[in-house]
Amino acid sequence: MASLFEASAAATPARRRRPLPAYVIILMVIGAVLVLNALLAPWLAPFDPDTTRLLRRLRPPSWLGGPSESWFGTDQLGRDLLSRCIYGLRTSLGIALVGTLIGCAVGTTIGLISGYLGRAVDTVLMMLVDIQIALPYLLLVLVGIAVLGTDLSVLILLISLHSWENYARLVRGQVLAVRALPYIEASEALGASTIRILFRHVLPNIASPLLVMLTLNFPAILLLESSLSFLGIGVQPPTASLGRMVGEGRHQMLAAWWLVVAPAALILMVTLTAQLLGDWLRDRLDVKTEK
Amino acid sequence: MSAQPLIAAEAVTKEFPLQGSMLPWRAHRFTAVENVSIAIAPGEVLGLVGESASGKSTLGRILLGLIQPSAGTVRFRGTDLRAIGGGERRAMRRALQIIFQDPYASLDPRLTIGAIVREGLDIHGIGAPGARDVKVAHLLGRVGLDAGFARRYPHELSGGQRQRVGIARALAVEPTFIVGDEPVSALDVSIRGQILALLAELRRSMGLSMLLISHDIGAISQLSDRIAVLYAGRMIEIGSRSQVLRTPRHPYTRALLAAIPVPDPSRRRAPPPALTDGASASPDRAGCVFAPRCPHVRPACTGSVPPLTVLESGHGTACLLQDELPPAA
Repeated sequence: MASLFEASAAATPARRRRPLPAYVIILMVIGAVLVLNALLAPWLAPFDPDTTRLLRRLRPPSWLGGPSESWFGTDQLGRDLLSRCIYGLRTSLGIALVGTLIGCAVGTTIGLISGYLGRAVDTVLMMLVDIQIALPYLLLVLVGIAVLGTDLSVLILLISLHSWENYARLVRGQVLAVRALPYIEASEALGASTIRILFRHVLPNIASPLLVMLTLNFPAILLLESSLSFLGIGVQPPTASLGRMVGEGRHQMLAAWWLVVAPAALILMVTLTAQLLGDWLRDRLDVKTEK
Repeated sequence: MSAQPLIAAEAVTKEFPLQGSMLPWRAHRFTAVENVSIAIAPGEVLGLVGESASGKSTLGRILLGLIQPSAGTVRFRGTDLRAIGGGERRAMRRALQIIFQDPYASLDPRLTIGAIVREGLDIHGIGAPGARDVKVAHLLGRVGLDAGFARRYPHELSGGQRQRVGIARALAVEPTFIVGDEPVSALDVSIRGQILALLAELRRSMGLSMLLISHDIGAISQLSDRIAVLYAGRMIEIGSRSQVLRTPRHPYTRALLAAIPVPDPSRRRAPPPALTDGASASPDRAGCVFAPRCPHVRPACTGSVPPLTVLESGHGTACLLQDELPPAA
């Protein structure tokens, strides 16, 4: 992806000098802080997130009169909420990122093959897409978990199934538009292999809409993981995930509101940041130098 | 024509299915090229003229092996293109190249000029990898571009420069036959002359055979040894440049020639023969396809397909009335 950015930046020297809007810089800083938090969780978290201390249950945050070592307070098992938030962020971001990337890779590959080869292959693959769209996704997840178990890898697999069909459709449409262009035919005349044409000529030229879709899809996947965990069919205890923490905390909502508010605020921050950055990226790439 | 032709199409036909029917075998078909035979000798330049949708580009791509004909065969140095496999196929892909009309869409906007020209070298493993950039610089020089262009992107170049890049890309793999699909139609008149001169020079120095496709008979006539005229997918006239330009025998060719503007206000030609506006994308193929527009049409014209009758001079025409028509204006 980095090389694509460089290529488009080099191709538009005038655009490169345009400064980033202030809100984008702020969003990027927030995004970087969140990602760093997730990456450095073992060093940043003040306590082990799974260590229970039953004598210190449901303490409020330190700035509301709670124990001075627990800034966000403790949960119903006496675990440090700040540590759990940091680890929960790590789990949720990780699952969402891997799920998004797998879904994107699968969908893109299918879209490329479908659009470029056409004919019967296209018909069959698009039929698969239609089936996926027609299937109630939640039902698919429930059946998948019932059959395959609640392992984390199963969850990631099921989450990555969520939106591959969107990528497949987008990419297929883009491929149909690009493949008719003479430069593709020129490569065919030179004897380029299908793989070479797809990855050297087609993919870089459809990367912009794909990149935008990726950034806009990421928050949706993160919310999906949170919802599944909230319902109890996602990440399993004792592992912390933002959605699970909201789900567990809701029983103590009146007594210890911070248990819900802290992870929910994090979910909001992550999805809003990704969504706004994606919107900005789409606006910026939309007017791209087609000619 | 006694020597073996470099590339020859034998009675090729290409039909495209049209949308509109659920059952593929009952779909309507559009006949792009019908029963066309054409042979191009080594070093020969053949001009292919016709209006939009007359099948010119389809015929060109069939000759290159980029489109499979629905019927008929294409032979490259005597061997059927479809029978070629493996290493020979790679050699064939090197030998047959194409230059496009649109200099904007024919270059990948994400690649540098150097990468575009180099692609053929990489695909066919021509030269040591380290030496290929030198070869690219040499190729750019060959088409009249500075070696510094290799680092630029297509959008930084003018139309004429891009067209030169397209030519350099085709030349990189040392082809023997190039199809120029409207190679100068999208260019300014001044640039057009430069590109045509470049093509003429390359042909002289490299012994290239070419098929030059154009809707404008004037644009390519200087460069062509022979000229073929296509109408609605059928070849209606073929002959040497002087035969087709000076003594056209088909009413359509005559109308085409009469339509060339003369850049001299004091000289006025006779008004072009009145063509009826009966043009149709899929005319009745049982008879002469030009009959609906022909000023000389007779009842016999719609009954059977006029065969391409070739005179001893090599001048061929597909018109029932060719011997009865008044001499060309």
